[in-house]
Amino acid sequence: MPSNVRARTDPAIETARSVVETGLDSGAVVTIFGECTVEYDGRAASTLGPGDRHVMCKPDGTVLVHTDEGHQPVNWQPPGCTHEVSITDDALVLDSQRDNPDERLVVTFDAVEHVAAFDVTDPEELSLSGTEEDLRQRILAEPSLIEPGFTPLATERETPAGAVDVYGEDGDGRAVVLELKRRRVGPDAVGQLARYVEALQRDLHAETGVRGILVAPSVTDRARSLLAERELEFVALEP
Amino acid sequence: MAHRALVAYERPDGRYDVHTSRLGGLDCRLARTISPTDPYAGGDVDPEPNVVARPFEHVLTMVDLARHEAIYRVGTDYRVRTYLPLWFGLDHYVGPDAPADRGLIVAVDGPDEAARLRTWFQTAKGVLADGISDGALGVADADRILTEAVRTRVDGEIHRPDGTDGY
Repeated sequence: MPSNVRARTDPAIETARSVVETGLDSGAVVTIFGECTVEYDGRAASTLGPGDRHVMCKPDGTVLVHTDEGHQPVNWQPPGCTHEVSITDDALVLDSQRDNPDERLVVTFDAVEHVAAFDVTDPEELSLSGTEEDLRQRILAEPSLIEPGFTPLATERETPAGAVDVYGEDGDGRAVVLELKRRRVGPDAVGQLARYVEALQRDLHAETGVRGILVAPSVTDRARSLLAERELEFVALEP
Repeated sequence: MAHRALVAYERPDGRYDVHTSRLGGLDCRLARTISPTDPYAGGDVDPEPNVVARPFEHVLTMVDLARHEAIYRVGTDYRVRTYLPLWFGLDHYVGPDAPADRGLIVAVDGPDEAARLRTWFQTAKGVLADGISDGALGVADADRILTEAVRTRVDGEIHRPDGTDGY
């Protein structure tokens, strides 16, 4: 639990600025919700028009801009950025800059509906949860997430079509290939998986067919029907 | 598998060392995370090169269109140019008679453009796959239409995976 929270609903713009500035200065996690525009300029340039978004600033310099969809932010800055908050033309402006490479993310709130600063205390060491390896490590630690009886045998097993993420056996001793994706996938992921399955089938001279399982948060309808046509399988798993 | 990418780092002699990344193709994120102070993006890129001192045209021949989700060309100043492999393979839609290793590699301005282009390309492939399934098109027709559509849609560099200019 946060040991200290400062929050305001429907704050005056100057109050919002004060909460954000104080929070940033004190190393708090700061969140702002309201209608805003987002400008990114760096190696690319992009603009998000007005919309309701939730912005989080972390004391390590990370900025995340979220909408009401998906687990990925629609825009972000990595750790190491510096933030400044100001008021321009009655709007609250959060300016996040990165020096090397030169990148800038500017979020302009015409209206702030909620602002908060959390003094987060989290003494735990970084666990596997939330790391890049999370999905694969979770499967290796708990293979029954795929299905009861599944046994992982190797990661990065080479096949003529390239290395497969996880190779294993099911409860009946059939070879299983797992294709892991961290986002919703479409038909081409089915094509990739089919290539691995066919390559492994040739490699193993398997008498019984090699099973291919696509592991992802979700699949498109088209991908699901292609999986069924090609007798491949899908297991939904969030990264 | 995963979200694999190739990362080509320019050497002072203008040739490239090629590294791999298992997850760096996800949302073309290495375009924003590779920097002079963090050239391997916090371990996202395997620091051991796969091959060294190759011309960029050779790097393109290492791309597996079905497998790689992004190619990054990193200059000596650590500016990153992002390329998106567009895999024309339709065998998973229409069966094994379709040529599997066709496609183009195109330069994109960054993750946002890559996402838009990827969505557009997947939609185009799906429509053409329907056309083939309905008997309205042949596989060769679909291949030609995709090639022309990409050339019309993309303003920047287009390469064939054999390293030649794709225009």
